[in-house]
Amino acid sequence: MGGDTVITARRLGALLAITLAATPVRDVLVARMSLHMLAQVPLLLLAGWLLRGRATTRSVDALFDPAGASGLLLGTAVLTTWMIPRALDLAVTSPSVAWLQSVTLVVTGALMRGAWARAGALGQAFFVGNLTWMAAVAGLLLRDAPVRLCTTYLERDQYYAGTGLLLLATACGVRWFVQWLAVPATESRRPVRVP
Amino acid sequence: MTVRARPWRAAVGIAGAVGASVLLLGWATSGFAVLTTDADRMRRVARDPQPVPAVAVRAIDGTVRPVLAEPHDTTARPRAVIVDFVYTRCVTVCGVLGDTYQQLQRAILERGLEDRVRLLTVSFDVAHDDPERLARYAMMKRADATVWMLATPVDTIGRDALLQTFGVQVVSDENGGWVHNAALHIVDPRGRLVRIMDISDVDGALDAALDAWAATP
Repeated sequence: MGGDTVITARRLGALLAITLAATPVRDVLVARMSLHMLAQVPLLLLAGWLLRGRATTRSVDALFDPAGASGLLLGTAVLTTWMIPRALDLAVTSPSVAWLQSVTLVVTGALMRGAWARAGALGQAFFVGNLTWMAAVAGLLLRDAPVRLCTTYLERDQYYAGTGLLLLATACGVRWFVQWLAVPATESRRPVRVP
Repeated sequence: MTVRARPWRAAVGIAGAVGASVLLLGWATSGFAVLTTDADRMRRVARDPQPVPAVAVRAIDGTVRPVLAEPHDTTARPRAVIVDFVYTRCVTVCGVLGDTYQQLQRAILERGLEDRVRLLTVSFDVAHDDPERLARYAMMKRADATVWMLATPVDTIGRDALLQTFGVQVVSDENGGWVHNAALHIVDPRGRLVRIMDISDVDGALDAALDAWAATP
């Protein structure tokens, strides 16, 4: 990746973060439970990931999180939080919680880019296994719930959100697994080096 | 160049991540107790009763009075109130609430509890549910005026204050109607919201209302 590409990616990340957090785009995306869970949340995470640029082992978070475990643990907790119906309701009804959501997801995205690279196949497998399993179960629960779980969203949309979450979790799990199959074991165990 | 391992830094990192995770998840679940807004509301009200604002409402006879005022001026001891929110054009959850209230009314009359517990249905459809429409709804549901009162707030400011206090969220259903979280709200004779019960819990709501009545001297 060349220097120009890095700068462009970071600009794109900044633009995405601002658009999602501070423009009417947010209102459109959080108006529906499905878009909130399947677009707003993942895109904020992506914005942080892009903003981070290229992660190195010399960055501050790498010093405190050499194996990537802390970053991925925090990522799991943050993504879990924004799947909780009460947190989703508050992100719609309270402006300060809306900001908390944007900030935690962007920061998590940025931290996870480095943590992901440092975690190696084992750490990644643990993270992906945990999160996709949880998201898939949450998706099944949302599809089957006989009542509305969020006071701000309609039941029909809850069903769509559940279906989408199930598909997204499955797709992420499968994609990671296919990628893992393609990389020889020796390569993934190589220590991360600073170029 | 590979960075030299410093275990204490990694330990600080893990401690920070665990701490931040517990804080965030604990906040979202009100201390690992609830997952939904409704469950949180029920828990908070049970722990910390909420005074109901004296919002002006119009009853089916057209009179304007504070929302929790007894239907007739009386020196008798005030009753506990089971409050619900509806709009009369509603075809979904309000119908269920209407049936629940019919069951409650029957139970109150059969057990002779009409001097301890009464029912109050508040419409949040301020623009549409005038006394005439409310009266028609009351007739359809066979509401007994001594036990079951129906009223509409006179303005949207009062309506919103009530919805806020009772924790009722009204969302457009995109077909010209609304969807709202329905529940049975128990208000004690002193005018404080003391419990929120599931709409299917008729017996529980009546017991909670009797408890609230008995607890007030």
